[in-house]
Amino acid sequence: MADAIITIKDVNKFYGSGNAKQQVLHDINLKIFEGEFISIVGTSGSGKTTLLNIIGGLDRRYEGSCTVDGKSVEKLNEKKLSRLRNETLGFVFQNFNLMEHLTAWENVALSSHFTGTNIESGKEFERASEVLARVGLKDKILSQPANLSGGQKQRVAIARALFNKPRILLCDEPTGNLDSKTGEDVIQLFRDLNRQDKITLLVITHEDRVSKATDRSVHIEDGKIISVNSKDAPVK
Amino acid sequence: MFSLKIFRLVFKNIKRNSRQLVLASIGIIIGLWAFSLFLSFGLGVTNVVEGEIFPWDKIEVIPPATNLETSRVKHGRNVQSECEEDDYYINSKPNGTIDKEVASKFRKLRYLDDSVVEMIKKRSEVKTAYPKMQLTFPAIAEGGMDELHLSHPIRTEIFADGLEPSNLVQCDKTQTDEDMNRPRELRKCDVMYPFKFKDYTEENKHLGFCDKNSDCPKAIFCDTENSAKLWIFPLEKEDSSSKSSSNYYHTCYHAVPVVVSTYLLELWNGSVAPAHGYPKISKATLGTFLGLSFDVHLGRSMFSSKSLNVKPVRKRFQLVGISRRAIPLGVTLPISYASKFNRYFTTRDEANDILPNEIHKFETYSSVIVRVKSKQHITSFISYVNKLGFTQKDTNAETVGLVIIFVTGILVFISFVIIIIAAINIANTYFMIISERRREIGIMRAIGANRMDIRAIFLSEAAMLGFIDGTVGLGFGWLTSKLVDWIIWNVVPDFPFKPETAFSFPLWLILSTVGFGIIFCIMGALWPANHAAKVEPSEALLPQ
Ligand SMILES: Nc1ncnc2c1ncn2[C@@H]1O[C@H](COP(=O)(O)OP(=O)(O)OP(=O)(O)O)[C@@H](O)[C@H]1O
Ligand SMILES: [Mg+2]
Repeated sequence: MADAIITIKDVNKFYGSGNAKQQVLHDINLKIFEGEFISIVGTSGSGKTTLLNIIGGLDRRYEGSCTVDGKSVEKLNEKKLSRLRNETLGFVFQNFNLMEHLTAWENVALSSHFTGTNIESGKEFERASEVLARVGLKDKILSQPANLSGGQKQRVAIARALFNKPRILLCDEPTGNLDSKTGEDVIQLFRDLNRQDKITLLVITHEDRVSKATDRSVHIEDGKIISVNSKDAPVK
Repeated sequence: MFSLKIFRLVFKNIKRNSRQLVLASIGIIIGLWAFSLFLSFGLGVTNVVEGEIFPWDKIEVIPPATNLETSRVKHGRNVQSECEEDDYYINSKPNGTIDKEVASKFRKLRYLDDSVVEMIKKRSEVKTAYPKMQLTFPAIAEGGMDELHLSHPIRTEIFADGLEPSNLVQCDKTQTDEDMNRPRELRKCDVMYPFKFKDYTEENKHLGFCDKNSDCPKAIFCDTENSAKLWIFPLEKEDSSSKSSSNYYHTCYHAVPVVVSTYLLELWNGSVAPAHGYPKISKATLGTFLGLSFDVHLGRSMFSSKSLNVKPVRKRFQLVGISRRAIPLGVTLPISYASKFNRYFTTRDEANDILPNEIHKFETYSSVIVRVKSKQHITSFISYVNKLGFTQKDTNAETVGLVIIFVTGILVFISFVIIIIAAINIANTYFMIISERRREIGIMRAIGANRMDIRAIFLSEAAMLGFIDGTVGLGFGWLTSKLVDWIIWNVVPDFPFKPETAFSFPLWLILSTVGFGIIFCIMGALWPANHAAKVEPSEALLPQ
């Protein structure tokens, strides 16, 4: 098997303090390998988003260690963490989170304004068009998000995540706001990105059809990993 | 990070919150409007004062206020001059009389004669220097009855400055615009064709005798004064044999050419005409007054009835030029006329000899107009002049300049107060905008923005807003200045030194107005932007 691109070791996460202190993640240990298409499933409030935020370096207040692409997230300073997010990671959210006042390509190229980018200056539009074409929105480059359907919006959001040529895509319920048909298209897109573009994909979902499409499915309940289902060695 | 591409994003962000930002900008715009307007007004007024009223590089060297006899006693050893020893010699003479030889040497330095003018001209600080001679006796001008359609002629006491015609500024291509437009420095072309600014004494000798004007050629006048002989040979001593009136000849003569200032027009329209019910004169018809001639009663005064020892004479003066560069009050005439008139009116003794202490009145100058090369040269030149025993005419320019700076300073301070309050308003607006965009900030953080990037986006936005506000404020200031200028020209009655524009917008003022707009908007947005940079991405992304 390939090397682990993400390694989570003994991660505990608490929210609040004193009497209100609440443990959300319990001793999480997980390795995600390069080129893997992995899903995290679990009921609402089980800690999926919390785990994703830790992997994505959006939340550093946890115990244990998390290594992404060879870098210890908890040891990186704010700047380096932002750089990691910009250069290595891509985020996709459930409710798309597009900027309504920017066109599709401007949304996609947003990260070109930030420190550390893999895209050559002056090539932003070109790259944005390329990734929009990749997600099947060649003719929506100049559209405003308000004029796009939910599925199209999510594909713009995926294109935004792809813009900087990330090696890992972190997706939090990407099909949660989509109907089954468009959801299916998005899953197909993820599969293509994983197979053809060799992008490591981590998808949070509570939909079976999504988790079934992935190589491995991690089941979290009450902040604990209760099972890992692998296609190669399915655990019943 | 601060590249050009951020402008698109920043511009769209401003557009999105345009209503809030327009409201927040009003204060900044008003403040910058006031700033640019007040400051440009202060600069404009300074320009008028320095350029038209008290040119900074112009120094008028004058003899000391005290005269020959008393100055020695008064100044004693404090006077630093080359003839200090001689000064003491004069004072120490027991009977107080003046050794003529020493006095002449002394006078050379106490009075402004050609040698002093030459010494001044040779100084390295000096760009140009030329002498001026004022009339040392009173004179009254009378005329304008026909030209202004009045029932009585207008009479006024006049002052006159004599200038050497060759010292007028040349009107050729070697002169810069600055040279050509120097206030109170007459140019050759201020004398309108076909008139001439010159001494006609020699020509007058050949014009012949007359009884009335019509006996003389066109535009030449008949001198019916009994002192006509003095006119032809004004410097000659009258011999006692020709004292009987039958020996006086009436001769034809060219009127004395004079140039007057447009300031007189402003004075006329602003004060004289309203006070006496005379018609106003429009600038456009000014040209029709060229060639106008009027009587001048030399040796007469409206202020004082003190009679001179010499009988007053009436001479014809002719207007050969009207220029804003002429001396503001009075007339400018060729210096040789001033010298001849002064000589005629000097005090004489019983033998009709000119008293020695009166000689300076027509042999030396009342002042030397000096133009220094640069501001830095003023001090050293003035100390040189003082060493020679001369002083310079106090123009009050510094006092006036200080008052202008003080008033402008207060107004600029007020506009800064407005701008600072407005910047607080900008801060408040940005706090609102940032709480609105909280989730957006979280997304930007998630896709790779670090704190600096977030701060930079908000500060760039504020900078662009400041640029827009600065430009708009400056634009309003400029438009207001045009409006005020228009009102000054078209509504406000003429007043002395009425400027073409009361404002000045030098490049640094334009840049600093826009610059302050940018700086204060950035200052206003600084705190909110820091606040935005501190937003925790995981919290900002929580579903609302
Ligand atoms: N910022 C926070 N402060 C306090 N508690 C929080 C915070 N974020 C999450 N939690 C709590 O942590 C637990 C895990 O939340 P998390 O968002 O990770 O769940 P989830 O598995 O993503 O749920 P869902 O499927 O509804 O998105 C929940 O009980 C939640 O209330
Ligand atoms: Mg969640």
